[in-house]
Amino acid sequence: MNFTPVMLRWLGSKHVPWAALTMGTGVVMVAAAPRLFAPYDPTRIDILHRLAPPLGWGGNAAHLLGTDQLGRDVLSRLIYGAQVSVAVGLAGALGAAAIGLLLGMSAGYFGGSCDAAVMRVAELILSIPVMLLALGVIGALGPSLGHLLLVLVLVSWARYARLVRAEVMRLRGRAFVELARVAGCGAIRIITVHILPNVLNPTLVLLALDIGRLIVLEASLSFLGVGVQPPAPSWGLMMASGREYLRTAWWLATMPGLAVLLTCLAANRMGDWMRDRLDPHRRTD
Amino acid sequence: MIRLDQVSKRYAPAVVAAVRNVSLTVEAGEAYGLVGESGSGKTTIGRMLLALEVPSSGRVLFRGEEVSSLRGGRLREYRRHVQAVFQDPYEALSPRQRVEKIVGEPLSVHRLCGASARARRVAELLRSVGLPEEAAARFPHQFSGGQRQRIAIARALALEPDFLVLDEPVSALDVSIQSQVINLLRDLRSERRLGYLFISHNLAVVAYLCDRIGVMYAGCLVEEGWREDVLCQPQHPYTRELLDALPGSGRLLAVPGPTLAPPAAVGCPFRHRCPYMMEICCTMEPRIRPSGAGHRVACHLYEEAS
Repeated sequence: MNFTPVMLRWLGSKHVPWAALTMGTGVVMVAAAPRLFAPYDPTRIDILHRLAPPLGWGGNAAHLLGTDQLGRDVLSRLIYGAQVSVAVGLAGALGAAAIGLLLGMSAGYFGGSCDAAVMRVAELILSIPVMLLALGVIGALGPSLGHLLLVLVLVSWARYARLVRAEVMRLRGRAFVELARVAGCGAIRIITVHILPNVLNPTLVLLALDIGRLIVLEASLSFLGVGVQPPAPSWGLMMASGREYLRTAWWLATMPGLAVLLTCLAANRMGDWMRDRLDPHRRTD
Repeated sequence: MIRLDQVSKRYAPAVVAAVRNVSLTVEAGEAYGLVGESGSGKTTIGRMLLALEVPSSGRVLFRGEEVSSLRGGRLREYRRHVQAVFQDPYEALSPRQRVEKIVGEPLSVHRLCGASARARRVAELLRSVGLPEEAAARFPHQFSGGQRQRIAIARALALEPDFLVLDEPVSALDVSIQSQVINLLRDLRSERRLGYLFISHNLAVVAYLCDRIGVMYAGCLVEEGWREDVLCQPQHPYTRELLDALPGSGRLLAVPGPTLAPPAAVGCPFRHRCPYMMEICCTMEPRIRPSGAGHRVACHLYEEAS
């Protein structure tokens, strides 16, 4: 059996991506109400059952994904950790997209000094390594979920602003935008009715890719100890503490790693799907 | 109704002007055809008239008011009188709006009628350009080029303007569709007493539709006159070249010399292509001056005579 073409077709198909949708809604639901899904308290220590392997690798159904070095249930910790990942991924990307859209549209439509100011700040931010900026801000403000979110928005908005500015500048010279001016539309109407709908799609695609990126970034910051603080569960923190046990208890770092990977993949896939759905050339209703 | 007074436009100080010292007048209800090759500045004149560009010098006047000085409510009022149809029907319609929104937008922007009256008006406009009412619920991509151009025309008519700037409205269409749209434009004009500024590189189309014809070359208006005079008694060598290039004129390009020569910087811009070039043409640029009833030409050949 040739497996690769089937995989490729699935990844590229225009049909509803059920797997990604299920994964995405699953993660969001679990994050919204972890109490309902987690079999154990994620911070409950059970030293007697420490480092139990997952089911299928010598473990049993009591701890489906095994336990960590303190006997805490890995599945429960993953479920509670989803809360941070989803909050950070969604809120960070949405916040960055909103700010980037606003600044990028102003820069692209009005041009001049407005454009120069926005773009110089954006270039400044893009020229500083993300990790360095994040560590600097967290170092100055102190670690907390709010500050983490602030950092993620701060390092992400510039990419939206640049994308949106370029799109707006391209659209501004197009005939239908000029004819809107001729018809008597004011700047606000042109921006909201004629330009915004045409920049939403590329923004949405960037947003979907960003959710995955931000989840990874949150995990990296938590891994470095400047994100979410223990004992709160976070996928990044779990990977950090699981690193020491990689030889003896591989599942400690692998399970949160897989969670990050799958969530990121699902977010990307849903972004692609939404882009196809929103394309007016596919709409006939 | 529309008057251009010594209008020039340059996009950057170092660049050759797109439009140079053009003066012309279009009366109410008149169809004025502006012909010339690409880059001759005819589109820029249309854009200045639509307040999309500001002239570098000179004045564009509509009923005695300077268009570039209009702001806010006055500019909006001006928009009700002057509307436009552009060349590419695939570019002219907002891809994410249904036809009812596209055609009805000018009405809602100017708050001319409520939602139900607007729907009736849109249906009426669609019928007047030869489209079924059901077209209102569809998206632009569901129409052919000719149908889209009809939608663009319906939108331009929504405000019941007195004047339309038609910038190459048929050049992007199939030849079989061109004549339909041209006939539509001719019928609309007689029904609604519209004035046209018809910009085209196609002299045959302009000759069919327009009362008066202006010929542009390298940003200058080189000849202007009534249709019959320009077509039957062309004076400027460039106009003759254009007429000779028409299919069915019986003559192949009669003008010797390089047809692709760039416009001259000093003297007459056409002199490198002109078979009648004289000494004076290299040093002095001819000014456009009257040469017969309603006829004007910018050529040294006719200065000696007058």
